[in-house]
Amino acid sequence: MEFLWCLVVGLMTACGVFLMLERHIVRFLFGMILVSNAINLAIFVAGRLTRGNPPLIASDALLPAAGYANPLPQALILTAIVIGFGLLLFTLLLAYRAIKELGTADMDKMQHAEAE
Amino acid sequence: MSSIIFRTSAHFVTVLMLVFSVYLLLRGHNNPGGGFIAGLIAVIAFALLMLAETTDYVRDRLIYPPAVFAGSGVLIALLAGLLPLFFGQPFLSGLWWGKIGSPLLFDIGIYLAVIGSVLMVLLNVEEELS
Amino acid sequence: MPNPILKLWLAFCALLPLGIFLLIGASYKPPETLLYWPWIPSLDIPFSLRLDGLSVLFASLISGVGFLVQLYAIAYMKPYKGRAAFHLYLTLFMLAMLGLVLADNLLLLFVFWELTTLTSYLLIGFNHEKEGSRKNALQAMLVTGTGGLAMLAGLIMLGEMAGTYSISTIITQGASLAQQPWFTPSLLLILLGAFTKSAQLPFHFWLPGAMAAPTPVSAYLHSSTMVKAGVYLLARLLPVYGDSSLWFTLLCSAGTFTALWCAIQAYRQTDLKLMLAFSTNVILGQLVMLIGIGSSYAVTAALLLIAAHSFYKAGLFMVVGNIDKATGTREYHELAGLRAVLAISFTAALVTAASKAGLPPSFGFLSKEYLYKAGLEFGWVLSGTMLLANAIMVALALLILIKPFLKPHHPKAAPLKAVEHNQLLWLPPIVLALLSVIVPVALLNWYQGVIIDPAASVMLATPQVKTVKLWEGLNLPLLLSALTLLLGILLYVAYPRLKPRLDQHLSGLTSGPAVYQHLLNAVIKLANWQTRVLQHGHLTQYSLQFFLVLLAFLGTVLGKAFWQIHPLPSIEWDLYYYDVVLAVFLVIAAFVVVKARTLLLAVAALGTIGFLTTMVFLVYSAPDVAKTQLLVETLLVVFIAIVLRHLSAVSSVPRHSTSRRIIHACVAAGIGISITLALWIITAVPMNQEISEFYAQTSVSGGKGRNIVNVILVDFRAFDTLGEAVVVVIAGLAAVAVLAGKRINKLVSETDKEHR
Repeated sequence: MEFLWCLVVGLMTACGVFLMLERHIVRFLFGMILVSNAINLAIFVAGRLTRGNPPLIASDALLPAAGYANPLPQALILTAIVIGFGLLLFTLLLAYRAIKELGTADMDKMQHAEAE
Repeated sequence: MSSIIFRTSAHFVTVLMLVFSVYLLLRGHNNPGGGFIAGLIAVIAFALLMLAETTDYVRDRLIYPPAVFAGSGVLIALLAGLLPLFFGQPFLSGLWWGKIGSPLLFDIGIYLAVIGSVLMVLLNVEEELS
Repeated sequence: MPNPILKLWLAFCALLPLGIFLLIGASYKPPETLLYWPWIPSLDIPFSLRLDGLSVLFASLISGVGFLVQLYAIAYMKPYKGRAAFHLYLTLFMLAMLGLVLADNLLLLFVFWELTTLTSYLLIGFNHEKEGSRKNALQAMLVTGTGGLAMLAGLIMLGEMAGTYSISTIITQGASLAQQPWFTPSLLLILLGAFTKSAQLPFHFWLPGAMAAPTPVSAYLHSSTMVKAGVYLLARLLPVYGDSSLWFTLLCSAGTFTALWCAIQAYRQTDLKLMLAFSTNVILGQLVMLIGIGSSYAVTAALLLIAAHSFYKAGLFMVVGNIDKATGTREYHELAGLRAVLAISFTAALVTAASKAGLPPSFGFLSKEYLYKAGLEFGWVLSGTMLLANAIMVALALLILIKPFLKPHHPKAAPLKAVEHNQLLWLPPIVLALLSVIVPVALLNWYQGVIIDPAASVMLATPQVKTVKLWEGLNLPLLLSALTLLLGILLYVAYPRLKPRLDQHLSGLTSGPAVYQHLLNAVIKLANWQTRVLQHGHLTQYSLQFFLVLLAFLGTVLGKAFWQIHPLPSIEWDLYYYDVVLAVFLVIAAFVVVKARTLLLAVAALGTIGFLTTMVFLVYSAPDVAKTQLLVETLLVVFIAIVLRHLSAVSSVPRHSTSRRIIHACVAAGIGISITLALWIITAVPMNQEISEFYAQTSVSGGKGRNIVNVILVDFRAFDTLGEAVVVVIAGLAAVAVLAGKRINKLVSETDKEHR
C-alpha cells in the first residue's frame, strides 16, 4: 500500500513545483504549501505505514503492543509541521508586504532589490 | 461576525478551549497531546476571542505582550534543559520527582513559545490589515 | 552608559589584567606547569594550558603591559564616544592573546589565534566613521586571516605527523619528524601564518597601516603582544623545525630583509607613530632571524629582546600619544618645545629611547649585545645588517627626542596644551621606562631563573644556557655597540640631507598596499562578474534554475540507485477502499489548486488537502501528527483568508508563455516522478528499526511517558525541539517585523535619500 502513497506524494509534489514556477507570488506560496504537505507525507511514508496501532503504551504495560507504528518519523513530522507553519506565515506576510510595496504580484516585475 | 450570540458564546468557548489546551498539555506525555498541540489550540481560542471582540481586548486579557510569552517559553525550555546540569547530568536529560519532571517543564516552555509567537503574528496581522 | 557603571566597568577592565598577572605568577612553578580541562572530549580537543618559561614570558607581558595600557586608555580615550566598548574589545583581545600563548593544543592555539585577528579588527577599526580606519582594519584582518588559514593547514599536517595535537608532546618528539613527507609543506604553511602575523616582508605593510588605531591599541597590539604571536609560534616550534636548513635560510633571510628594509622605511617617515611602527617591524625581523639561528646565544638574545622591546616600545607609543594629545599632531616638522608641557613624558621618553638606542645599562643594550653575539657566530653578514638596522634605531631615538622636546618652541610649531594633570597619561610610560632599567640592573638573576633557563630548556634540544651578565668586559660585541652608536649619531646628523635623497630613490617602488589593493580589486571584479551572470533579477528564472539543478541531482542519484538494485522490487497492493478514496481526493484537490482561476478556490482546495492529509495521518496510526496538522491547517487558512481579503485590488498577473509553461510542466513532472521513484526504492528496502525500537523500549523506563512520540519530542530529541521552538519564535518575530510597515517605510525612504 506504500506504493499508492508514493504516487500521491509524487503527484502532489509535481503540482506544487509547477505552482512555484508561476509568476503570481500568491500562487508561488500555494505551491510552497503544497510541497511542504507532500514532503511531510513523504517522510511519513518512508517510515512505513501501519494501520490502527499508534505508538502508545497501555497503562499496565512497559512496551507498546506488537506491530506498533514507527514513532520516529511521527516526531520528525510533528516538528516539521510546526516549523513549516512558522516559515509559511513569514513567507505569506513577506509576499503581502512585497505586493503592497511594489504594487504588483508579478514575481518577474519584482526587481527592486537588484536594480542597478 | 459580531452577532450577540457569537460574542457571548465566544467568551465561554474560549475559556473552555483554554482549559482543554492545558488538559492536553498535561496529559501529553502519556496520551496524544503535548505542548505543540495544546499551544495551537490555545491560539485558536484567542483567535476566536479576537474575532468576537477586538485585538486590544485580547491584548488586555493577556496582560503581557505575546512576545513576552514567546521569549519566556524559550527561556523555560532552556531552563528545563539546564536544570540537569546542576545534578551532574548532561544538558536536557530528564529529571523526575514522582509524576513531575523536567520534560514537563520543557513542554510548558514549548507551549508558551508556540502561543506567544503565533499569537504575536495573528494580533499584528489583524491590527495592520484592518 | 551612566557614570558610576562606566567607572566600575573601567576599573574592572584595568584590574582584570592585574589579577591575571598575579594569578600566573602564583600558579607558575618553573620549569613548567600544566593545567587541563576537557573541552571537546569527543574530538579529543582538551582545553589545556601550559605555563613554561616561554609562555610565562609572553603571558606576563600581555597581562602586565595590558594592565598599564588599560590604565593609559582610561585617560587617553576619555573624549571618545564608545569608550566602554573600546575597553571591552581591549579586554577581549587580551584574553584571546593569553589563550594563544598558553594553549597546549594546536587547534586551541589556532582558535585563539583567529580570535586575536577578529578582536584586533575591532580595535584597529575603532574610529569606524573614518574610511581609512575601516580600510586598514580590513587589510590587517585579510592579511593575517589568510595567513592564519594557511597556518591551520600546516598545524593539522603537523598534528597528523606527530599523531597528537598536544604541543608539549610534539615538542618532546623534537626533530624526529623531519623524515616525514609532510614536514616541508607543514613548515612552509606555518611560516606563512607566522610571517603574516609578525609582519615580515613581504607582508609587513599591514602593521604601519594598522596605525589608524587609537594609540593605546598601537602600544598594546602593535608593539608588545599581537605582532609577537608569530614570533611566539616560531619559538614554540623551534625544537621541531630548528634543525632543518630550510628553516634557517627562510627565517634568517626574511628576518634580515625585514629589519633592513623597514629600518630604512622608518627613517623616511615624518609621522612619529609611523616611525615607531616601522621600527617595530625591524625588531620583529630581528626576532625572526634570532629564532632562525636557533643557537643558545640566539635564543637568549630573543628572550631578552622580546621583553626589552615590549617595555620601551609600549612606553614610546604612549609618549607619542601624549604628544598627540598636547599638540594635535604627530608630524616631526611641526613639533618643538614639548618639554615645557610634557616634562614627565619627556623623562619616560628619555629612558625608553635610550633603551631603543641600546645605551648601557638599559634593557635594550643588553639584548643588543646578545644579538651581536648570536650574529657573530654566523659571520659578518648577519651582524653587519643588524648593525645597520640598529644604527638607524639610534638615529630614530635621537630624532624623537631632540627636536620635538628640546628645540625651543617657535610660532610656526604646533600650539601646546598642558595635559599632564591627568596622572594616568604619564604613569604607565614612566613605569615602563623604570622597568627598562630596573630589570637589567637589579633583576637579571631572577629573570634568568624564571624565564630564560626554563624557556631555553624547552626551545633547545641540548640546552647550554648562557648566564646573562650586563657587563662582560671589553669584547667584540661591545665594540660593535659603540660602532652602532657612532653610526647612529652620524645618520642623525645626516638626516636633513639623506632623507630627501632616499625619498627620491625609493618612492617609485611598488609598495605592499598597492599589490594588496590590486588583488582585492581583482576579487571584487570576479564577484561582480559572477553576480551579473548568475543573478539577473528574474525571480521565476531563479526558481526554474533551482528546480533544474534539483532535478539533475535527483536524476543522477536515482539512476545510480536503479543501476544497483535489480531485480526491481515488486509492488504490493494491499488496499482498503478508504485508502483509494483519500488518495484520489488528494490528487484531485492538488489539481484544483493548480487549475483554479480564483485565489479563493485555490485556498479552499488547499484547506481540503490539509484536512485530507490529517485523515491520512489518522488512518495510519499517527494521532499526534494528525492533531497538529489539523490545527496548523485551520490557522493557516485563517491567516491566508485575512491576508487575501486585503489583496483583492491587485491586478491580475499574466501567465507565462505556453512554451515556457510546457517546460515548467516537464520539470515539475520530472521532480514528481523522481520523488515517487525515490520513495518507492526507500520503502522497498528493508528498514532498520533499531532507533525506533530503542525509543519504544526505553520510553517508559527512561522517559517515564507512554506517548512515545511525545517522549521523543521532550526527552530523547529535546535539543531538536528546543531549536525548533527558537525557529518558530524567530519566524514570528520576523513576520511581525515585515508587517511593521510604517516604521520600515520611513527607514527605507531615509536610506534612499542618503544614497542619492
